Amino acid sequence: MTTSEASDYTELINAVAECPMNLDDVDLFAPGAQEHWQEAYKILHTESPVQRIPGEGSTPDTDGFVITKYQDIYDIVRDPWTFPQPGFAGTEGNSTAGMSTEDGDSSALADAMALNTLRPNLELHKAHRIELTDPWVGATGAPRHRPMVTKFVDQLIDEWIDRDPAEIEFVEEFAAPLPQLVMTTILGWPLEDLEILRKWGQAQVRRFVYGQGHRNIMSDAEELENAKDLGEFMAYVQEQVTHKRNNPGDDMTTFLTQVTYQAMNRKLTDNEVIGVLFGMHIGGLETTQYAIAAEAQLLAENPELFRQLKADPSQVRFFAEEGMRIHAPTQGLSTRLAAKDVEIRGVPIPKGSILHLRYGAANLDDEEYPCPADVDLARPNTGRHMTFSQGIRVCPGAGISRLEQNIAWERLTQRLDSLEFIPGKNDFRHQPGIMLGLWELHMQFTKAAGSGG
Amino acid sequence: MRDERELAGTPGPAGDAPAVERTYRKPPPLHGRESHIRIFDPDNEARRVYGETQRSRDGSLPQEDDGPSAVLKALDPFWTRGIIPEESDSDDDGA
Repeated sequence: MTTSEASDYTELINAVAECPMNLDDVDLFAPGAQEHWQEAYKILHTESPVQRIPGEGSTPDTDGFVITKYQDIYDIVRDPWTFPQPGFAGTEGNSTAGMSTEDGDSSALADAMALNTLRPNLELHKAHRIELTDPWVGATGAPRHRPMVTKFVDQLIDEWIDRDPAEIEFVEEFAAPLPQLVMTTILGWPLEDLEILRKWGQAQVRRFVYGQGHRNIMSDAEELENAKDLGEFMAYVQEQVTHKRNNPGDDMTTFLTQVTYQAMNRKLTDNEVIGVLFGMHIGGLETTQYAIAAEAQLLAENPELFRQLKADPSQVRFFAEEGMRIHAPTQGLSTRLAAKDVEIRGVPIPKGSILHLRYGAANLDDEEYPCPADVDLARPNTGRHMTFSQGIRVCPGAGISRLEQNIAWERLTQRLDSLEFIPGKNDFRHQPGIMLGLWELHMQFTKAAGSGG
Repeated sequence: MRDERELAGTPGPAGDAPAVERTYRKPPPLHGRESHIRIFDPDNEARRVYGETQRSRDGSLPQEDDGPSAVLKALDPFWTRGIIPEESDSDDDGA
């Protein structure tokens, strides 16, 4: 992610935090803290599984609370009445400022698009997923994209597999472009627009990277600048919608312009289509990039694992789940409000408090996953991680993200004999914010005998 | 608890996996565990406040099988491995 014109994030990007040794040292949102989150989670799980953040609730006189235990998050995401999303219909008076939604809408965006997302309540939220997004990026629709995703995976590998020396910057040359190519194709937008779409995609997740604290708050200047980028993006999407109404194709944008939404028994307006497309674009890019890059790191750290996947590709699906569990791309979101007074593990949480659900910590809860930092392809609860959240608001794009990760590693492990770090060239630094994204990953590889170039 | 070995050859987003014999440990049960969350209003005021908009029109509450889970379950049991608890989970001793 590049820095913006109005803001200089150099200090934030280069910040170094000390590894926490005790609870007093733990601040998940401090600059540089992302490099020590796993250590911090161990401390929080043991000493403060429900950690209060004074004054950072839905109003200045309420608090935020970081929730890190797996079972607590499991219970919370399944009780949207006690723990609704801020700003969701029925939560009048609770500002969405600085908030985000689990399925990918950033907050200012969510404010702007709230009337057009077609999901004012849980019932329509469900219908929205089943009727509008599942056929394209959910578990039902994603598998039909296998040939297209495989083609892009092989094209990207072709670009560097015969290189001498056999080295790549894995993030820029594989992990980032793959989801861009796939999502742009699914949406039916021109691939020649990839560069500008990437810029707008970064604007969509900007608050999650450079926003402050658990609510991802940006300054007024940053909001203004971001709004400019997102305004440009909205105009672009409107152009695409208009184009597809006149020139239909086999793509999601066309589908949305033509479908009769059974839940409302009518077709969608342009603004409603744009609202859905915004969500698809933000959700389909960065997170999958981070997952694939983190999985490359895991494989380079475990060469035997690479050989195991190469020998038995049926294990790739379990590896991808373990990769997403250990390095969840979205580590946490402040997406739940306490609608009434509750108590979690003895910690009183007054009505109006904001809950920061730390999915990345839940995934590393040793009560749920013994030896949580280990890749264990035989874990009995592999698919139960919190990376896509759970419950009725589970990530709608989980299907396409899983498909991309699976095909990526199926092809990479078949076309390469090894994938290793280039010695001395990696610092393994992650971008700031609440998402766990490697900046870069310099790797060397060995082409498999018989692999096409 | 279903026998997870039945799932090994299930086609899914990752393609047609070979029907290899594979022994899975049983996932630990989630339902039936004691929650650490205490809600102070036994009448659940929040459900009254948000009920009009956040529950189904027939008044039912969301179920585990609502939303994509039911679709997932029908499509490919792999993806729900450990997600959709079986009734017999309550008799499961866990991993």
